[in-house]
Amino acid sequence: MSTQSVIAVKQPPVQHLHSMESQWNLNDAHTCSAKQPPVHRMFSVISDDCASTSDARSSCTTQFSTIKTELIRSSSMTKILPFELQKCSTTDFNPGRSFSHVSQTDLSDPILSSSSTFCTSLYSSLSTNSKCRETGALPFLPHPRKLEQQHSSAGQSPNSSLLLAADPSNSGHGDAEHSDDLKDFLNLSGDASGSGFHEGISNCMDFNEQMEFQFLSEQLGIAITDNEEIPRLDDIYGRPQQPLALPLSSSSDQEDGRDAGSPVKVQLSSSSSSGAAGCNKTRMRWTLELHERFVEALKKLGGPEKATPKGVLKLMKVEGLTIYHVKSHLQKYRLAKYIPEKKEEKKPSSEDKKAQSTADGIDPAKKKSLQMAEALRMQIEVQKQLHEQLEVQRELQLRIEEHARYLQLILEQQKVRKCPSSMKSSMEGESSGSKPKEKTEMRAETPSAPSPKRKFPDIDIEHNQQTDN
Amino acid sequence: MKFGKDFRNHLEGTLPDWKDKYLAYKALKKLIKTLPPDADHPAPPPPPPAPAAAGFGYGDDVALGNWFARILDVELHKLNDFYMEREEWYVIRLQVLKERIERVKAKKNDAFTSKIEFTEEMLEIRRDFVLIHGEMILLQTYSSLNFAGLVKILKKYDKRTGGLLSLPFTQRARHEPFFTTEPLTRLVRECEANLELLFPVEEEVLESGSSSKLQPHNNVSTHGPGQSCDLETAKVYQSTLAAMKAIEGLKKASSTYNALSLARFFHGEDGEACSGAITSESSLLDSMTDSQVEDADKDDKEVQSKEKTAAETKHNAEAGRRGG
Repeated sequence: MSTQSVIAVKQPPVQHLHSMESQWNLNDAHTCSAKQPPVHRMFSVISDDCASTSDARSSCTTQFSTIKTELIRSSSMTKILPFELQKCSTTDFNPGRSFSHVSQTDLSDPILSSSSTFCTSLYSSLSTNSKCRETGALPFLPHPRKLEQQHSSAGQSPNSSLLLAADPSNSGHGDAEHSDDLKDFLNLSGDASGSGFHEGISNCMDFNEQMEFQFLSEQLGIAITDNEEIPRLDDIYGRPQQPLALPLSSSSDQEDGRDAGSPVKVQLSSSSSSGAAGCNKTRMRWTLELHERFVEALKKLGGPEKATPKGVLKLMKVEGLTIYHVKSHLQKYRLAKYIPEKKEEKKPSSEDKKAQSTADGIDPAKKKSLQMAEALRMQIEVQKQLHEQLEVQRELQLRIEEHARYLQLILEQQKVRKCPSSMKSSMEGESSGSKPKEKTEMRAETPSAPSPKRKFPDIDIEHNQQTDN
Repeated sequence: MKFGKDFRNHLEGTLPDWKDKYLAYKALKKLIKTLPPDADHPAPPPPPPAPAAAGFGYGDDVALGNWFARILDVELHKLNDFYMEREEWYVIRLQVLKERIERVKAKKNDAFTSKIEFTEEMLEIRRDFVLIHGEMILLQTYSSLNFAGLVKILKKYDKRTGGLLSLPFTQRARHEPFFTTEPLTRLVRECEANLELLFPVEEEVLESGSSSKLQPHNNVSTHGPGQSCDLETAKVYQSTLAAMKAIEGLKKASSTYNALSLARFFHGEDGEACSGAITSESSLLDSMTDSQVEDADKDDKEVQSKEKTAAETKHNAEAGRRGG
């Protein structure tokens, strides 16, 4: 089902878009045709993602929900939203389809200011996927090179100037100095895109630096380098935003302004969409209890060799646990069992050796084992020592962070008071999310409890302990 | 500066398989260096800014922040993945090991097994316990060092770009699996309890009293070089020593870091904000909170000075380097 719809989307992109438009009651054929290459590419990216996520539905849907939250923030998008949500709920077990829907609404709606950011946020999560599946992407990307060329002829040249004119508000600090680089910088920074930004940066750099970037990108596992230098799939994925932003640029700056009001939130939401939920199914945290349950289930099913993941999963009855979790855990368990057993099997041979050595006399063997015991005892002592230090260190780390947060809250209060009218709104925006609650807590605390005094002595104590060590 | 070196040294000294599982500290640092520096929000850019951006002027910061947060997220994901994978492995290993003890104990009563065989097997179990224990401690080191590295990177980023990423991101990171080490600590405790139960210290000391005590630590690596098991323990041991050094360095650094961060908060760019607020505002609530801030400020200084003296007494050499 999912693949079917994706293929349908991919092959006749223009027609499909038109039909989509009529479906959504959005009509802008002009932009549609102008966007043809990127749309195509966008879809191919998505279809790649479908392939990669079709086995990880849960992660797909979580990803989705974060994208939705981003959507919610932009008011202009709200008219689409209900229907968006509906789609999600109906296609819950069909990530591929729901993905293509998102992109369609998104692409076929050039009026909306938020769509460019939405695109990029969608893209950002996709790009992390594509990174993991670069090879998997190939079947869905029949002509990556050609696409790129198309793009550069269609999009590249007018891009910078157009955007510069239409999108000036995106420029932040440091623009006055390098107005030349600014062009690249600007059109990319406007759409809040990850790799787009990189391209902007890397355009400003000489070859050496770009090589270094390549190295960095390898280390960080992220596409940073410029397309012209080293064409990579990731970069191709990175491209669609530029032409997309083109027709949208007139209104996209407003979106940025709105974004600026709540930077913290943006960061947090985008991070959860691209990071953990991104490319693979979320890993299960196996606690002792969970493992005990697992072992129990194994016993009931006749041991680790006989038991099947499916059976174990049924017996365990743990919410959120999937067959993949059980499978990999069972694999590890078998491996762990296998190691000592192998040693035990090996035993007799070493026993023979022992028998020989006993002929020489028991002493050397015994002495050796004693020495080893001694060494092990020492080793564990050192390890325990490190453990203690780590506990102290961790405590300190947590305290410092808590402290920093506390100070930040004070500072925010100060700022709010200093210029209540102008700053207040931005501060409120910044601290949207979990913070306002804490803020009010702090305020409630301030008149009575001298919280700083309560906190600082603790740190002192920590330090004394440390120095005692 | 110091941390980067410690971090690198630790990577050199730790288990080879773990090396590339750590935070890509160096790469991130380099990346930050390539970012355009914060130019203190210069005069309006050539084209007249749109009203929305004029109000905030953070369009770039947001984009940049999002982008950087995304990169860090990939890193976080990597850390979590490795951490949880290891944790899972230790949960299994520990349980299997406990089962093995039961088996060996049962065998003890068996007529077939000799005493030598039994002691040897117990020794092996013991070695495995020590090995797992050591690796778990190393995983805790992994957690601590990576968190510290992340905090440093975020600070660097904020400093370079004038962004505000550090605080929210750190707050989030501290709840990530790789930094919630309680389950692992429980495992460590259990491991230690098992060891103590199986191999009581007193008995050991008495028994080994005859053999020359106070062997240098290095002996661990020289013992039984032919056996692969000892090679493994030796590796863990060496890594433990490397980790010890890194944590020591972290401790020293964090005391200075703490003082510095306080100084930056109160005497840096926001210093005038505090004093301005005190004089210009006079409502009851304000004056109260203001005096509190002053308190906090005072306390800060106390803490700083205390830290300084503490640090100086311990590491005289270190104290001079407090500038960076």
